[in-house]
Amino acid sequence: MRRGNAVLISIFMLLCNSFVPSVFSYQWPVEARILSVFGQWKGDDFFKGITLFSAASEVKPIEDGEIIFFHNESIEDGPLPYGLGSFIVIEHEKALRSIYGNFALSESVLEGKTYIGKTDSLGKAGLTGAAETSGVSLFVYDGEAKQFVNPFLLLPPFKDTTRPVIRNVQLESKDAFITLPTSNPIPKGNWDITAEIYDLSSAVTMFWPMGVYKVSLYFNGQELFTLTMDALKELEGKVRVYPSEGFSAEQVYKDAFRMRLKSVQLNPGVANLEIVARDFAGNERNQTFRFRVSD
Amino acid sequence: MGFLLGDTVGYVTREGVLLYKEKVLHNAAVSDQGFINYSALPKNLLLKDPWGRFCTNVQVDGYPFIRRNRLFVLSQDGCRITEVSFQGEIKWERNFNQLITTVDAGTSHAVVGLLDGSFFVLKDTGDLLYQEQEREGIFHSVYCVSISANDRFIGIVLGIHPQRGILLERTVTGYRRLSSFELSSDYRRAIEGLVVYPPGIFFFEDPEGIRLIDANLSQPVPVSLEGKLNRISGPIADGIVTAWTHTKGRHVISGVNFYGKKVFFKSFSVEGPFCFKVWDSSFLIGILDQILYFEVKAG
Repeated sequence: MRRGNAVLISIFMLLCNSFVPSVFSYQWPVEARILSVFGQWKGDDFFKGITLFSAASEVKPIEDGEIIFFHNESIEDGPLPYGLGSFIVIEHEKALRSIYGNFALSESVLEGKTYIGKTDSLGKAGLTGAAETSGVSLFVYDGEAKQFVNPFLLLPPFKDTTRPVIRNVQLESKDAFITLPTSNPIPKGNWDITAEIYDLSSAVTMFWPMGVYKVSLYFNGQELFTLTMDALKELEGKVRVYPSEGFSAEQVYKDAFRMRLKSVQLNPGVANLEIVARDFAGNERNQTFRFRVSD
Repeated sequence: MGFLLGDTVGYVTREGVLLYKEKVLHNAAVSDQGFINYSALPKNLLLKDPWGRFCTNVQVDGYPFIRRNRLFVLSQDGCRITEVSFQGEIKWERNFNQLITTVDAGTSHAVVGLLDGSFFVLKDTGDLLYQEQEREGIFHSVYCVSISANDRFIGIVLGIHPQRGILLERTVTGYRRLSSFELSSDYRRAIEGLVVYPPGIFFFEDPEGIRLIDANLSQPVPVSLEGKLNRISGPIADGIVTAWTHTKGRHVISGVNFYGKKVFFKSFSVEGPFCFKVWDSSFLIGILDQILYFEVKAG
């Protein structure tokens, strides 16, 4: 999907804020019990899709389409070993491709079915490849723009009222390290701001952090940084996130859920720092810090 | 020679001595130089030698596989490939930001096929030597890439409606198409293929068995085989490749010459683990918990 298309879809979703499910032509492959989200840190790069928890329900395609590729996982010396386990790729209109992984393919797919309707089953949610729990992974790839697209932009809205978490906000310089809030004055100079920012999955009862959709940083009322997870595209050998400034995963993440926000020049006086995080369901959390900067 | 038989990975000698064996965790990448037995969520890729002794730790996130005794790692999302030396050092890495569907390696070059119908020939440094993008048809994907041992010929199967088989030959600057045929097949999965040089023939999986193309043929030559094709390997003695097929409970190893004629076959009735591997001018067969060694002799 071109950036313009992604923006249009975002505007469309905002207009449909009442979220009438019938206006969405795409459907969830299984119930929307989300375990990992688009753009979060995975391994050593951005995660390009979403993971849905499901014990053993039928996996449905998000839309009608043509099966263009599938892989059935087995212990064999020969086929490529995929972390996606058993997976299937379906092409829809306008070169939009949906990829479903880490589940068990249906017999009809294995026997050569080529066209799949919205009511057809792709297989059963399960545990193949690098799956940590039973479920299915979903990726959406725009063949025209050659980029992975945030699947939440296409899928019907899902129920989630939990706001993201912002914690352990830190200022780092060459030789100092300060956790906010602090009542002590902070020496002037250049500081890197990092924070643990995550959303909690309601799909499972245990603590299961996931990434967030959008993060903004305001310094003295001025927007310094905004990151939005709409598309992932390769540029100069690295996968970069758009429509933000094309950050790579190393630029965005210090580790799994600690994000690098921005470097700021602190000058003597009073400083206000605000971090705003929004999850993929639209829940927002903001956290403000006020501190003194010394000479 | 390394083998993967059911859930056992191991090594045997020509004399029938079992050097080592262990149980497969999730899957294993096996080469003549060593193997990596890895779990479904590999955190550490431990390379061991044929005696099961630890050699090195491969510090790459993903899943290892071997092509022509070269070690590669495919990232967890299937979009990035890394070549690693058997000393554990990263030689090169390339992120395509889309699914890699098939990979093969020659002595120096590696060929990578992608889901969008493009394929890339990479030098041993990972630098791009040649690339093509399929534009014919409605749906594009690459289903098979194969490169000859000396990197001179490349065989490709790609596309849907039509599916096409292509043979390319090395030029001074890259590769050129020697022949290209519309195929009757309609595969939607990675298929088996093997390019043999000399003389420069591309054998690949076909609904009837296998099919072969070279620069001089006006049409691909079909070779009818019984059952589903598992592997095309070789060449072994006197210009013969082998095809391993199976139907329920029956595995068949067929020898096919460079004219598409079947010159021998051996059949094995077995319910359970089975493996087949070509070893110079001989082959090795694993049945249940036994390894058998066969030599192929002319006449």
